[in-house]
Amino acid sequence: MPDSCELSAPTSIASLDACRKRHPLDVEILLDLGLAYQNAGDWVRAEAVYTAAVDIDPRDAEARHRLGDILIRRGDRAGAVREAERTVSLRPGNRLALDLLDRARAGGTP
Amino acid sequence: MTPRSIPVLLARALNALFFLTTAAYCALCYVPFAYEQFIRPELVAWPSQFVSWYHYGFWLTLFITALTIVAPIRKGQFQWSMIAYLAVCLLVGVWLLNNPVMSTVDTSARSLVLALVALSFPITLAVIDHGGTLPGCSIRVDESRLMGSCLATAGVVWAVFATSAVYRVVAFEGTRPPVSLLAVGLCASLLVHVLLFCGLFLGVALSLRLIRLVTSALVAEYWALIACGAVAAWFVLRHIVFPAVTFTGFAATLLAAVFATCLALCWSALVCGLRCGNPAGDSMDIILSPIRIRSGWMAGLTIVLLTLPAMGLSRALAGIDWDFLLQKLSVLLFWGIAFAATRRLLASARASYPTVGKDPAWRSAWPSSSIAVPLVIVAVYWGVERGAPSALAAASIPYADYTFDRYASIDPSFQLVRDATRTSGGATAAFYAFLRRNSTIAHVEVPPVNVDFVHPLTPPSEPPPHVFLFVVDSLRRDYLSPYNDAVSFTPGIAAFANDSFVFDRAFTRYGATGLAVPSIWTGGMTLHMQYISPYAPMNTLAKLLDAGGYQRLMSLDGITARLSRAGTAVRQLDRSVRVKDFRFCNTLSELQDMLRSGDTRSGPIFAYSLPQDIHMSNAFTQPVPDASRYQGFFPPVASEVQRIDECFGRFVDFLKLEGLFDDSIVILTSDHGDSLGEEGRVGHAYTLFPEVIRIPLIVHLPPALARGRSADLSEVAFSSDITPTLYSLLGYEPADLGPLYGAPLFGDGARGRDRRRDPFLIASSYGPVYGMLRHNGRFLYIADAVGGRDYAYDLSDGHLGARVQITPDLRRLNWDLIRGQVSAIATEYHFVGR
Repeated sequence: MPDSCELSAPTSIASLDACRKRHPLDVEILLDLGLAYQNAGDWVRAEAVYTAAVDIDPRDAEARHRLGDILIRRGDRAGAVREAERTVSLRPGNRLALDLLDRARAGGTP
Repeated sequence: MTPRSIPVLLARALNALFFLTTAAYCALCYVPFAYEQFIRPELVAWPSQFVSWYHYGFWLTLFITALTIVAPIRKGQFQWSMIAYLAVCLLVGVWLLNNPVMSTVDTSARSLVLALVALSFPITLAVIDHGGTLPGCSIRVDESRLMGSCLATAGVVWAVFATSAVYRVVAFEGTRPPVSLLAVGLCASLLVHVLLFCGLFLGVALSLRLIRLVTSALVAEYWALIACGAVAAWFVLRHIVFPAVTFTGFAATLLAAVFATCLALCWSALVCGLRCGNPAGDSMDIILSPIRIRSGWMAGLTIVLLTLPAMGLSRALAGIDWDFLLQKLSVLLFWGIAFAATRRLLASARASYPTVGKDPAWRSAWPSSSIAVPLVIVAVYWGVERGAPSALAAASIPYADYTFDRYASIDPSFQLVRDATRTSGGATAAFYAFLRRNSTIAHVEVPPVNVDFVHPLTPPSEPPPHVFLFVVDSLRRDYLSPYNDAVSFTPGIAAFANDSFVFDRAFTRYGATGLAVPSIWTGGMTLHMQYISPYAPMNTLAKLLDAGGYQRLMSLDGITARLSRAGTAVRQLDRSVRVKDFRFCNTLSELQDMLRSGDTRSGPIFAYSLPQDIHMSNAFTQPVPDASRYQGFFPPVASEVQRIDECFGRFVDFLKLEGLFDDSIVILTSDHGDSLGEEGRVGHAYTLFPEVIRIPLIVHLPPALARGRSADLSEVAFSSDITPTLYSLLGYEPADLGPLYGAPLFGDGARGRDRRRDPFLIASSYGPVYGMLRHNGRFLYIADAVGGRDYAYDLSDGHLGARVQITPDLRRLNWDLIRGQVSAIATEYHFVGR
């Protein structure tokens, strides 16, 4: 039977990691895994996962938004501004994206 | 029967051609797809002219046929059957004068009956012409000579098309396949051609042996060969010609059988007329006598010359073909000519060099060897085919099917053999049968259902904006600069895009116009049928226009007209213009005149058009004076895109000048894309390849509406989202009708919709070909029950995506998703299947 990773992803890091191994190019699984790392406070791994997602799909606004958010937390202002600007261009008019850009430019905390 | 003169034979050919054309026209009308897409919109001119002049044509055919009958009667060769035939024809002719039956044929069963009746005329005449006598033949069909001819023909056909394939790779192919792929393709092609002609030989030889068990009369061999020809014609009609216009089922089987019988009998009558009383040669020679190749060197020259048209076959037919039908029929013609020429060449060689083709001693000792050799070849191939997948997997050679697909795209003969011999069994056959049951639904009553995004629908609270919706038929996104940096010929659309939202992952729900346009007006998918009538209850866009008090300024193509409620007030653009001739520049010019006239300023305007400039039936045949300007693009299409870009740019300037632009929603999109030679693919008949389903979707909003709204341009979007988007922009809150329907493209400025995990069904408009689009439009799975195969694409990168290998799990998952959503549509329309 097909595994359930693609349609309804699990929530635990271990299960998501297993899913990622089976579907290394699945951006949705990467986004879920990144969120799980975020929730666990593991910003380094979250950044790595979101970066991988952006590498797979450079025009994915959600991946860029989350990566920008993480970069602000990690203090990478230039990187955060770059991701936030890209997010705004992919999500014109989106208040959350504009807020991200403002925060990135201000170098503020989330 | 006596030999007939050439004028008499030509008269017979005319009679057969007239009634075969009549039957073909009636059959096309009977098939809803062909009727709605080809006949009604008069995509080609000949059907309507044929109908207009039908009774004259009938009388002319009758007159010429009568002349050929009267002469023998005057010579005392009186035949009651012929007199009766003429009398019936006369009665029908008189009846036709007052009953223009051809102008009334439609998709009803009456058309099928008329097709069968039309075929009865040449069948009857052929039976009468045979007159109880047949061409005499004194020689039994030589099996070893037949086998030699078949094997040699396989080699000749392979060589002709292999030469053509190599030439195409060297001369034309933009992305040249690697040499290894070409080599594998050439070997596979040789194998399947040998197999095919061995199979044909076996079919004929076994039929002859069977008939010899029953009777030793040589004339029976003649009829066995004619019967084999009829079976071959039936196969071609039933499995190649009719499926191309989605004519399937029992009616197709029956009509193909009668058509094939008619063709075989008419050919036999022609042969009788030519060869009666001339016993030279065996029955095969007699049957091939109309293809007269006088000498061995002429036969050799014919074979060499066949290579020339083979080289340009695909390109020459691309603009007028449908689902490669003409190309396939041309290949069949090549095979026939190659067989006749090869047989003639071998006969000459045998006459000049008696040892050539002489049976070896072992064959005399074992007379069944001529059957056994091809049987062994077929058996070996069967074994190889069974074992090949595991052997390839063991050798880590992936994408075997992909390799053959690539080669098939440059070798139409190989492609025809592959398509004709493709079979599926077990779960695959059951799944494809399920798709067929739910596709191209015809000749059943399906009542409409109400589709409402908002119910009850009251007039909008704010004065609605103008709406300009331009759906450019077949326009590809990668031919527009907002989507492709390599494009330099669309500055007008680029400027428009700067003021607009450019949806990057836009797709059509249907891979051709027939259902793509209804999906825009409905705002979702519909039953796979052309069309539920009346369609107005499902037409949610029309309901919105009524509620908003819009004035409609529209080009009325055949499909859009069918979707509208009868009596809807429309100021028609492109009036008296054939749909095929809708030109964007003319339409926009006419629209500008209407807008300038001022009498359209009393309320909001809805303008709509489906320009045909880019459609393959138009663009492919356009000469391009300076093709080098469009490096990397298909010049005929690129130059047309440039032309409409200029007109569109001027129209946007006009809207700005008139102060309309900032009060207008302007949408530029297409109903579907097109294959323009990618991996040899051309057109969009029954395919859902990435270049066919990806579309441009550029939306300009009035600044007042854009304020406070946001869009995720990287999220998967569909042309079926346009209607719910308009509802939302006009201040309504459209209901979420589920994954088969669209949703607004714009949000309230914060989080938008989240569709990235949703699986979206897509489909061909005209055949049982379905796709599943998942992962935010990055992954496409195609289940093609027309071609009998599945495909999968990763669309992450580039415009065309990359083909990926299908695993059993992937297939099962996508089949389940497709089955679920197709069933959901059937349930919604209370369709219980056929």
